[in-house]
Amino acid sequence: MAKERVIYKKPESLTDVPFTYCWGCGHSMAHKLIAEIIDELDMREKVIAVAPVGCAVFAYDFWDFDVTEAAHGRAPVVATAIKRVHPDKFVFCYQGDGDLASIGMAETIHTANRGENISVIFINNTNYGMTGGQMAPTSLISQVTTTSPYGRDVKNAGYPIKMLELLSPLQGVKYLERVKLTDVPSIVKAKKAIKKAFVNQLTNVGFSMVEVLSACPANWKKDPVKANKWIDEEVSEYFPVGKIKDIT
Amino acid sequence: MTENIIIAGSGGQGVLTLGVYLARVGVKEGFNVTWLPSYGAEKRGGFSFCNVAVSDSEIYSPVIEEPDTIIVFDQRSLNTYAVMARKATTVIENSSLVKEDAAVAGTKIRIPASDMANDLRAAKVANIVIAGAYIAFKNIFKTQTAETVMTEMLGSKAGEMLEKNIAAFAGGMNYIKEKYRNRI
Amino acid sequence: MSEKELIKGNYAVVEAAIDAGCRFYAGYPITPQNEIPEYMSHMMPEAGGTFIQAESELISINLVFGAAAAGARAMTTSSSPGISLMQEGLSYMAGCELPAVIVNVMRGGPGLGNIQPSQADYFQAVKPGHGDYHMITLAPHNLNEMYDYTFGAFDLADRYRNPVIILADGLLGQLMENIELDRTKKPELLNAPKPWALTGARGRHGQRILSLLMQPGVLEKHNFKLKEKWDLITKNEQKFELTNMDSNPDYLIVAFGTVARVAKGTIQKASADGIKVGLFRPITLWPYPSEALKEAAKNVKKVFVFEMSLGQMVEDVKLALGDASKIEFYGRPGGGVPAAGELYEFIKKRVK
Repeated sequence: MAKERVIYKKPESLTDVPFTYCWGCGHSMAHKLIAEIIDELDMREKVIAVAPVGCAVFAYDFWDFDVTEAAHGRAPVVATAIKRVHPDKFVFCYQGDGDLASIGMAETIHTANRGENISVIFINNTNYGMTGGQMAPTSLISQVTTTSPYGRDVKNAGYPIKMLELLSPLQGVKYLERVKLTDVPSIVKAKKAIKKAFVNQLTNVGFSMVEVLSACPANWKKDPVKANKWIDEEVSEYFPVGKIKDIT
Repeated sequence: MTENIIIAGSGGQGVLTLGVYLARVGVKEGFNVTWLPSYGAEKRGGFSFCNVAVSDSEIYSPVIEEPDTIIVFDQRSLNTYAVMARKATTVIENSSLVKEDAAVAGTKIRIPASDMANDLRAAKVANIVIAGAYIAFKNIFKTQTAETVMTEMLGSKAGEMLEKNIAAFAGGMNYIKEKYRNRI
Repeated sequence: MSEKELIKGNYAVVEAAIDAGCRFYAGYPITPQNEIPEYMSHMMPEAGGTFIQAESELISINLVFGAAAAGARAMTTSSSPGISLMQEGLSYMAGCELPAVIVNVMRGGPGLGNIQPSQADYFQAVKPGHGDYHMITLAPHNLNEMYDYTFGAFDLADRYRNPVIILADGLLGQLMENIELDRTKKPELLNAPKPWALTGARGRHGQRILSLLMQPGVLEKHNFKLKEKWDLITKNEQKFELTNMDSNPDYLIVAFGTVARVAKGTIQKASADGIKVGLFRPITLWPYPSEALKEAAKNVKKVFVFEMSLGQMVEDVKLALGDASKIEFYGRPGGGVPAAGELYEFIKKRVK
């Protein structure tokens, strides 16, 4: 009988707690990719992460490294202070679109503008997931949400914010890339981008952010397959994937 | 001994600096001292004043209710603060900018500090002329302490500026010794 | 070695923080406390610490949150409207049990108000933002205390893992006074281990700093645990000062901070007229020294509560005494600083 061989195992940086996210939600995949990369870079013991307010507030149940919570929108500020106190540690924050692009807009922009040497993972699922699917600054034009029942009307709510394009001109910002998780090739690309953002911090390059277009089947009222299809056809039409800025 | 001083003028006349200077002289002579400035928006080009309290006992409120000395750099300041003068108050006026005719309670001292400073080609030292006058008239602080503190405060700006300050201070003292000979 | 220095109140705060081992400061400009971030921007880099000019008070307090979570001695300072913006972060810090020192150099309100001295943030210091929590609140009344209380606040914060507020006002911030600095004093808990701090999960599982406790009952338990801490602080940390109580006064003034200082002048004036007045000055506004106040007020005919507000601490005085009938309140809101004579006139009209 052939000897058993490990071809896949749970990353060390994940706890034994199973993900509790909805079916087809992008958070589970994003959490796992981050844990894998931290293992690959052999830095679990020097990671300090900041969890957002939103669905991913429970990230600390799943990650087995140091994590603090932060008030809604304030994660990059908390991460900034941790990194300044411990410049030898690896500090990242993980934020949704309501957190990062709405209530935390000022925090995001000033942290980026100061060129803080931290990594930001920005999960864009075009709605407020945790609170039940309200319109976010990133909700698409005409997207139906619980607070835009007739579809997002730009006359009332303005246009969806492209955060990476907004941050791109800031001189403190070194690396911005938008990725999606809709199929295996795009997951491979997403992992590569997140790893690059993390390595940037380790090599003191400076502020890096990866935006992950992430499915929210429950609030989008779509099954996971259709949710991914919607990302491929509609969401990434408005929010194009790829490198937005790279001066590393 | 308690000496409560109100100093008032306009921004740029050295009102706050004169206050700090007298406060530091007081500290050097072993007194308790408080210095409370006007602060914030009003200090930018507008009205400027400070309270200096010097005492050999604990100073309670640094906000002066009953001034022993009122120093005014210009007419507007006199108009504002004359009302606080009592019989025992010394009112020192910069006569270059304060009209002769204003009657005040207490003892009135007039010295053309701005003109004397201009004669030294250093308009900024008008406050030091006043300092000399104050020290000479009130006789609370030793002249030598006042001179030491002046040198300390000017620090790196010593040289020509120190000379002008010393001249201004001496000018103020001598003016009082001459004009108010019978009063000191 | 002790030295006598003429120092500005806002500078005394900076000197104290540096001496206490504070190595992280974030602040946003607002009058009348601007000398603190200005002086700090010189002093903190010299001390090898981090100075960040925050882009808002929200950013200030959340930087302090992060620094505290990382185990640093951290401080921010502001004035009334800025402290309002910080209340969110303060509630999180209390919930997460993070130590830090926050200095409020109070100004007149409400709204933008003015920049004159005020005590109208008593409520937002001792009865603060959302959720059940308390912050140790210290009220200096001279510049020695601006230094001493700020210095001591860092140990208090670390001892109880809780934010500590220094409640000063524009007068104390802007005032210069000669003070005796004891530079030999060492902070007690500066090098005490902080096993809860986030420093990387070296040889252990990851640990968390959080206030979110969603499971039913868990948050309730957490609150009861916090209550044990509040009870301990209430038992251990009440501080107050009595003035002229040896004279068996007929009347008692209750005042804190700047007003207490003015009231000492009032007592002197009253005494010259043969009216015996004592002063009870709470130093900790939370925990409020209620029992001590009750004791001090036991034999007096009237209790005069003076504040630079429309009456905030007076509520705690009423709670402490349990009987409002002998309390007389006089307050100056919106930036007014009462004079010793003014307070004496108020008393004189109400005593026989």
